[in-house]
Amino acid sequence: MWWQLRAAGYLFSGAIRGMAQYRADVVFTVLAGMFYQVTTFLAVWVILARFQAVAGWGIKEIALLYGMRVFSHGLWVLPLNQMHQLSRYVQEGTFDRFLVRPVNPLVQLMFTRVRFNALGDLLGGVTLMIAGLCMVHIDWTVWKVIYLVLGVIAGAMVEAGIQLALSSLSFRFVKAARARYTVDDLFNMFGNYPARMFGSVGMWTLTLIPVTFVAYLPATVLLDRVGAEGIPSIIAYLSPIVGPMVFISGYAIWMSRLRDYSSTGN
Amino acid sequence: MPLIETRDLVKEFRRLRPKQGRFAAVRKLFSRDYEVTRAVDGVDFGIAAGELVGYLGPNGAGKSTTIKMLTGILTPTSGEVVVSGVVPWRHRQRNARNIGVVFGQRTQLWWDLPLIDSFRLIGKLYQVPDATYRVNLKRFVDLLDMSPFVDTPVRQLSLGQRMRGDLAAAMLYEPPILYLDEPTVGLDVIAKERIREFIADLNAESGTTVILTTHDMDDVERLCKRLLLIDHGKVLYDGAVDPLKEKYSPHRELMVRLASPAEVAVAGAKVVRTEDSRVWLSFDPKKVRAAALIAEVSAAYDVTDLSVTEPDLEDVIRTMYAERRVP
Amino acid sequence: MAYLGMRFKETWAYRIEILMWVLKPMLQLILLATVWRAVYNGHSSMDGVPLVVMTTYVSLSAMHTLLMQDNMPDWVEERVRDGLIGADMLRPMSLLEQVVWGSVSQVIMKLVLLVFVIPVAAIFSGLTPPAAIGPYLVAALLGWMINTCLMMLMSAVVFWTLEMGGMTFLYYTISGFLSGALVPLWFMPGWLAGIIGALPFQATVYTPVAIYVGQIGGGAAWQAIGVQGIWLVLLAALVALVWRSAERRVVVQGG
Repeated sequence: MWWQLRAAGYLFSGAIRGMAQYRADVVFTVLAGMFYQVTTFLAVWVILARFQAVAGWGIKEIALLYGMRVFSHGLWVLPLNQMHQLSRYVQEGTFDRFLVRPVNPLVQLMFTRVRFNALGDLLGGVTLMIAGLCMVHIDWTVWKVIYLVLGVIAGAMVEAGIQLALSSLSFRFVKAARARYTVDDLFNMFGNYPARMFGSVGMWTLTLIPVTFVAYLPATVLLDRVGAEGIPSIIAYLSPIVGPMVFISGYAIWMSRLRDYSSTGN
Repeated sequence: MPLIETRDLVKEFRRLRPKQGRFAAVRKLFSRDYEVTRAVDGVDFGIAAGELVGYLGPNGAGKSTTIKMLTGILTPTSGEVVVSGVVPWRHRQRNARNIGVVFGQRTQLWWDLPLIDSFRLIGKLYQVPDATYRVNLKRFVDLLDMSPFVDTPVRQLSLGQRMRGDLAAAMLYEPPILYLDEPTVGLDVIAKERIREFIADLNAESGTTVILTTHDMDDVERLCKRLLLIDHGKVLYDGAVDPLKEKYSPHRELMVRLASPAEVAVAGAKVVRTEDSRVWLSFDPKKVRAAALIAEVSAAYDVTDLSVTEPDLEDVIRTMYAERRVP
Repeated sequence: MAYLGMRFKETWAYRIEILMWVLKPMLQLILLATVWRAVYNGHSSMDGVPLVVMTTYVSLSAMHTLLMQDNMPDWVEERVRDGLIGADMLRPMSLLEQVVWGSVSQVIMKLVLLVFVIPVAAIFSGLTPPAAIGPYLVAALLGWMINTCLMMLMSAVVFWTLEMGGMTFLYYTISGFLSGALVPLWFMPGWLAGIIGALPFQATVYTPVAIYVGQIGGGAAWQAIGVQGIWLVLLAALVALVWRSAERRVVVQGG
């Protein structure tokens, strides 16, 4: 385990050194990422400025929910930014090399090249979450602070785990991995809103997917709205556990799908 | 106990059968109609430490697939493979420490960094002790004459320079086994010779076990004492080079240059080609000794020059595959 | 015509991708429709705007946004990066025309894809018949043309910077908000609507869709179309200017 971390460090410094020429592009993309997150929230703000509430959630509560979710998203998108390169590496045969080095292939995928574009997502998320935390009224306790931290991290793990599992499709079906983007869209769009808005069927579907565990359920706990939302309180309170579970499963699936890897060329 | 051992190794690839017609792509998404290709169909062999083996076969024969299973890139469908006591696909990282791999077409070096940085990174990733790293680095830089370009970014290197870099990188951590996949492809004659010399030295002096896949017969003639021929997923031949030549191409050729063009007819030999004043005679060395034939021809004709050639390995192998293809 | 066919074939090759693309607007419109329904909270009308109008607005704006999306900036960037732009410029058709026809081929393909979107919109969101079909079609066409001009201006940037990178993404993000696709102008606070109204982006999606749902009716509709016309003329002139100097740049740099 420690070895993988050290190896990641070596790869990372190599990647940084090779990166000098790409600097200009990064600024724009980071800005764009930030803008994207902020403007989509602005749209919601405009709506709620006019119409006080959505499904019983006011602008302040939604700001927190939105911020938590976007922050969770940014937390995994930045380290796993190379994931979409997987299908390219597979097609070009570069991935072969990862399998003959004494380092975990996922670690190599993550750190052989680094792009900080996703920093925009993360910064946007931080901004929104801080705004949300400032606006909303919560009876803060030590437990709630811990819960917030855990909830956000677990949220990131839920999304990351699912994306990992889907990306492993690249080992076998080069094109099917595109499904990743659709699922990502699903989380990005529906995760920011109180799931109750979608009706009972909608809410339970989203819970199974499991979009609601990313930010919605932890938010309900923080806002003391647990029972009111229609999902059993126990599930809401234990929602941070789902994160690591999904992530570990996603990772296990990814590693096991390496057997499907058929390598191209020759 | 062989260092590398495979037993009944099989690799199948399942691919969706290509569909024609309208909505082909959509139908393919829902199709369960697979075609199965047996790229490797029951391969058995054992390679002892210190051997230098050539692994040959036409494209699509299952060559690369076997190597990829040996290196841990692919997981076998069935059968066993053990390399240096490790099952490659089960313990990839452990296996990786024992092997060096050079892909002729794809480099393992870091594209945007100077060559020396790649070496340093490899040293760290394989946890090579500082002292060993420095010794090996110097050794390879000298042996492969890399000092002029060791600080150049890899993407600016010529193919030959990159290949030398790849070889050095593969050996920096002193793996007992080295897999070379077409290491001389695309190189000029001098570069090829330099690489071959390096490989031969490595095998002779350090005792590195080398498995070489190549299409270049000169590589084989120069380096390999043992050949593994594969076709259609099966091993056709496993043994030394000379017996192969003898079995499949027992003939040698005598080329004589005459003072003036003439029809040549000699007992025990067949004229296979004439070009101006040169005549090529094919003969079976078991039936007619070269020396005797030379004497006979020289006596009967005005010979100004002559040479005797061994069977061409390429022809031998071609013959082999051609024969094999007859069911 | 032949060129159009060729670009169309290029687009057809990516049909699976494009199909996947369509999923996003579908999800978007389901989401927005739900948001608006929740926001209306049982009222059939707010601020004089009926819920059906809002849901139809959501459906139409999603469809229009889909039509407005274009890979022109990426296509141009790729050709410039690979050095092929020089060959493109030597064709009998001017680069400008090629780029426009490329967009035409894409919009045709998207129109076909709308066939899939319409039933989803009707079921999950809302889809009432148009309030005024004539003005709507004119506004839609003008809206697309304005959008194409904006795309061309965006694409031209690559001739100077050689790398688009985040810029297209930034553009889509900003224009997405400013085009009124997410929130119609009539629900925005006055000052915001004023600013957005002064920009060309809202002329691409907001104007035609607002006309469709009847929020801009009668004389006001033709006024809005007039504004579109003015924007089109201004932008087209700007495009001609910018592209001329862009092409000159390519010649100077040797492709």
